[in-house]
Amino acid sequence: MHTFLFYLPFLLFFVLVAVYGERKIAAFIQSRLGPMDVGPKGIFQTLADLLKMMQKEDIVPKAADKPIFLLGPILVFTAIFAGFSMLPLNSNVAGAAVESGVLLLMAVVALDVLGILMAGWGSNNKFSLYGAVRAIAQIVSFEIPLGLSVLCVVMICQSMDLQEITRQQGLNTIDPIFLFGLKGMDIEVTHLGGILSWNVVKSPLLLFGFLIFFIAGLAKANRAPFDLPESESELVGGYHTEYSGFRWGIFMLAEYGIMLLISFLAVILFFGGWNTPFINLGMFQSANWTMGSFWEVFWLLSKTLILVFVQMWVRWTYPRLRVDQLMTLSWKYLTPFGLLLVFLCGLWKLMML
Amino acid sequence: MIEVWMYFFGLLILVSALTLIFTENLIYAAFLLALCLLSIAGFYVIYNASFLAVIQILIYAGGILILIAFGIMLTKRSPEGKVIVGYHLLFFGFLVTLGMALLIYALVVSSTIGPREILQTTGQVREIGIRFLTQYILAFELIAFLLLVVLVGASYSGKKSQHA
Repeated sequence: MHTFLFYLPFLLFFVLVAVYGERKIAAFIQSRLGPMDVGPKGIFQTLADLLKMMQKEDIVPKAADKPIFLLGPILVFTAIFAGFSMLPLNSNVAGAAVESGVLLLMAVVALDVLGILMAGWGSNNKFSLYGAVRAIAQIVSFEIPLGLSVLCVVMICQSMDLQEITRQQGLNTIDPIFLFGLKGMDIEVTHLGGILSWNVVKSPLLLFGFLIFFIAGLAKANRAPFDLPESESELVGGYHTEYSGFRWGIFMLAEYGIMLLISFLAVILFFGGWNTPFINLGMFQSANWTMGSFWEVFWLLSKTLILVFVQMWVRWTYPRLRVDQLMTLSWKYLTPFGLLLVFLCGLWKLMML
Repeated sequence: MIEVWMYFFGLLILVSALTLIFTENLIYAAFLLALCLLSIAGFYVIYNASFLAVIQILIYAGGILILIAFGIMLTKRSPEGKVIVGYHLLFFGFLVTLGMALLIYALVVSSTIGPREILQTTGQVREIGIRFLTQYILAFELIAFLLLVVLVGASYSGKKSQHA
């Protein structure tokens, strides 16, 4: 019911850990040490940075459009955090009871574009405006492959409720599950549970769906290799160039928030949500042993954090794309491939019936 | 409780729409339009049309408004960083407004529209989907065809301007 009582503290704690984790991962990938000075192995570095940031003056540039400038970051974070309200936590604690949950999530999160626009326009600075234009063009373009890959899952599950989609991917399912979803092969795996009931195994085409979802999700979160809106070598800092102190911190919070949200959504749609990966085999009823309120929260969070790690890994591995390459990727590769996948998933669903 | 929310969203719609008309700053007008459209989505929620509310947020607030805002961002602004609009063609403006007001009044007093029985809150999406592919299939397919034509036309005109 009130999942935000869990997700809001979790998000704040996650940002503290993830900023430190990202710097350490970046350092490891680049053969450096990363933050080492504050506390053992530098674990208090983020806390020190946070304290420094909170003490900074909240500067509004003289030429800025004040109400819009002040409202921008708040709207960005509100839109992204509202997306968390639809996420389930375990089999007993569902998110907001919205029938079209995943659609509402996509719609609400898309509103963060308005906040970015407010920030970029309100700053009255050409770098901010370029950053905002790039951010919006990118987010709006990648919304289409993102929506298509979500549509594949919705077609396979025949539901838009995230709790219902999760329930279908484990031992709690009502319908029987066949190996790879093929009813013709007649190998029922409902009682085995675990990884065999996840959507990516139930309908292996969704593995490609996940790839599209993940790439488009990276672009939506403005993460490298799609961080053109804030490419510091060209645009200083993009749409948050003029912000300082806590308002800049809200943008940071929103960036990590959407990373987490995209990972949660990917886990729920493709990798079984709160369901265990272990399979019941003979006397080793490992799927039954590793289910229960606490275990389910554990599985959901650990799978999500693995995906967050992959996002960071990608960020420090690939160079940034050019604007035209970005648009080519979205419109000439991901969108047609997504449309094809929707068609193929429809055929696969026919074989599952 | 529903009435409290109704008056809340109604007030929000009224205030944002009036300010939207009387403000001279075009970018404020765009954001007030966002507020207005989201308040209308709130209206849909309190009257149990949750799917319609989601679509309202997705299409109007998330899609069309972004196009409007994008258009404003690419227009020339004054040195203070504002896009200022003035009032032109007041006579025809009043004429159109009067006509719209009369039309809406005629619709409201006619008995054919009005609050119907409140539909069940679950299964709306399924019901809409089934209706689209049975009862309203012709309209649905025609709209799909129209959108395809628009898409092809847009990509064609975009390509031509590149070579010109």
